[in-house]
Amino acid sequence: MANSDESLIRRFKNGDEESFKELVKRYQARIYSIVFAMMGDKNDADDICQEIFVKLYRSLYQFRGKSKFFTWLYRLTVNTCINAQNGRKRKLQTISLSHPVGESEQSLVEFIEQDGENCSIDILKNKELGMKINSAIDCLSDDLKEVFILREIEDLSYRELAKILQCSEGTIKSRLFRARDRLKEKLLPYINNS
Amino acid sequence: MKCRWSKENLSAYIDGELNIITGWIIKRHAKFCPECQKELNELQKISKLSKLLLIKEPEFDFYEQVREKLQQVKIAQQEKPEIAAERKSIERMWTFLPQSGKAALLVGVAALLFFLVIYPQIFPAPSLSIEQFEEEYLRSRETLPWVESPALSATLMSAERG
Ligand SMILES: [Zn+2]
Repeated sequence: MANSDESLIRRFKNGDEESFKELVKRYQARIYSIVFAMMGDKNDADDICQEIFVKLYRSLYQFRGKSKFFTWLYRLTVNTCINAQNGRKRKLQTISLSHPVGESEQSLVEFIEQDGENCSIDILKNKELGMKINSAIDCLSDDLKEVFILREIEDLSYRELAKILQCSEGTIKSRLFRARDRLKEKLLPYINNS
Repeated sequence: MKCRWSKENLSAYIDGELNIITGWIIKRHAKFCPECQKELNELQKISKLSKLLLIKEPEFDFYEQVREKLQQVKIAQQEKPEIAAERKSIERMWTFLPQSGKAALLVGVAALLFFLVIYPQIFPAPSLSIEQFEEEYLRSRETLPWVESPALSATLMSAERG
């Protein structure tokens, strides 16, 4: 029988390092998927994911088991991503002031915002559709993005999402509605023909 | 009115978050309303495709990378136990100091700062040793290579990415 999160944590607190390994292996793919989706970049995802598990290792002793472990871990993940994004935004602002972005450096985000009408549907391949969806998700505001990503990757209930993101279930419902509405608006020309 | 209400609830419907009655009403409405049925299909498609795209695997040696990073953090912390001890003892001193003592200390610091501004020549500035600074900087980089790389290279890296 597989060990529960709680029993692994108990063993870890008693000095069993192997149980930490088991926790990492259990959650690494899910945390990595969330971080990758939030950051939109592999290098960032690698670094931040490692940072999250280092933080986990160092704070696991303080975990009292008042909430479910995964709620706590996802909250740590979302917070770390938001902090990293804020840092990156500040950095990007500094750059854009000193180096105006050239035409060749047009981002996917701008691309999907512009080409909605002109792009002929027949030239779309699956890979391109994937790119469109990724950039449409990337275009969402942070509060809509985090709830959409957590819901789609983890299939978490509204109640669990509300605990992780510390808001009401009503807010979760309306954010998911708005997130999907925005995505539909951007992706409609592509999904009906895929 | 029904279509608008129905569309507002489709997202929660595909998540299975509506109560049985509301879910049943939506399901029935969509069955006979082509517009809502179309919207439901689109939402389900977006959800399915997003799921497929969002799920990723980290590198096979992810755990080993985490362990390595943990080691770096441990080494960096072991290097500075005396600083931590010093800070703790100062904190303890401050906590046990009576209110009047705290006030006197603050007045003293304020007076010192005041004289520092008015008569800077009384307090000669310590000379900054570039060699010492570089040595310390290199040592901190060796122990924590993933921490803050120099500002210039960080800027270049983000410029490349953008
Ligand atoms: Zn309808």
